[in-house]
Amino acid sequence: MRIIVIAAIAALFGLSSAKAQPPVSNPSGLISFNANALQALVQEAGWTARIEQNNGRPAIIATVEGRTLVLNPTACGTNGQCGGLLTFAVLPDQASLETVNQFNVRYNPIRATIRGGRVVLDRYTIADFGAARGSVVVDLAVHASMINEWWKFRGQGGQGGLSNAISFSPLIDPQETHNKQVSILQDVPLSLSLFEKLAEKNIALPTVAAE
Amino acid sequence: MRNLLRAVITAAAAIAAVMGPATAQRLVDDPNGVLTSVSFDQVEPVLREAGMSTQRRVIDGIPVLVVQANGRILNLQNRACDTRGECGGLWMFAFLDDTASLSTMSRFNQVSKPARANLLDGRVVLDRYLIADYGITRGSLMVNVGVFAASVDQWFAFNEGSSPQQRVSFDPIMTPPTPGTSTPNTGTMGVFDHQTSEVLSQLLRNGGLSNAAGEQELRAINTPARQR
Repeated sequence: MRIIVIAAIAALFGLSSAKAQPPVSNPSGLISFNANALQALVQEAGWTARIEQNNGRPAIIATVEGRTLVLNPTACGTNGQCGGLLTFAVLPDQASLETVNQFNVRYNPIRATIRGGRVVLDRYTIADFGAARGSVVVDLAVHASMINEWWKFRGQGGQGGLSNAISFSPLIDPQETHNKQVSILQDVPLSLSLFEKLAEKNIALPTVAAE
Repeated sequence: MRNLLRAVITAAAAIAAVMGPATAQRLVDDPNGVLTSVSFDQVEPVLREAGMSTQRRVIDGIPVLVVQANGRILNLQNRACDTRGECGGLWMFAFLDDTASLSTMSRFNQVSKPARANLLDGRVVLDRYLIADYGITRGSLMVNVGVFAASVDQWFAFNEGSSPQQRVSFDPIMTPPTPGTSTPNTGTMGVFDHQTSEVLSQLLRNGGLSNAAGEQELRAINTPARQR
């Protein structure tokens, strides 16, 4: 999978084409967003994915290149097919709004936001008329790789530094966590305990921080 | 800053005049058909079929496809192109004649899924990036661009809904735009995604193509939706 990530990043920034090695079978074939189809696609790409119910709606918790991404199908019809896919990664980091804006101005294609006091990197894919399987896989690989880019950005002086970046100190009183929910977006409430758990793998890796 | 905005508004008005009034968006034929690339050659016909106006421009050597969709002016730029001119990335951005505090930007990014709000040189820029290394369906492309255009309306409605205190730059970490200092702050750009920084800087220096609100010549197309 590392090849895919490198190719995707290279393609994203105009260095070369990512099409040298298709990441999945039938990469130009279409997929409709639903939990089962997405889980199968992620697994075929060589990553892991499990479906969890979040407030009665399925969400896919995927491990992509060692990073935890949450795939949340949205805009779903009565047939269970969905036209949107919100993907997000919770990072064990806190940052100022200025830092977040600096990242967003410099980096494509991921959006950095602050939610529940933590950094969340999110991305919304619209595919009302289907999405190419290969493009979805590249999208996920890029998303995971952007977690590394966030930490590089922080290590290079992105307002705060790694000592602040690595520490994980919930802003909300732990005694309140049982009933607290964090709104990733208005329609994606998560329990705070799950929110914190999702961040566990998205730490700054020593190799990334040292670069 | 005032001169810059005037130049931006003039440029935008000129583009709008050339393009004429936008027509209503309509569904394209064969919406499940797959475009193998998001190069302008493949994207432009679909957008026109959907009722959008398009115009190709080269700004300081950078090809930009200017799209008028639902009354909003969007700028599209190809990314990740190979030697044949086929592209796997399509970056969409829209300049807004508006400013906001960083806290307002942050709140918008928390409630809006499809558009990312950035504050660049004191001005609001919305953007969205499509990844299509293995293609995109004609219908999904149309929806993506239409939704992004609608995000401009969403921004104005959102920012108008902010309290005056929220709209004013009261955040101590935000440097408010200073009149007469319209040159982009390139010191905060260009670290990683050089193309992003470069294009935004060039367009800002050249007046860009903006979505203005409140100017007489653009009021018909670029005012917040609830005032229409």
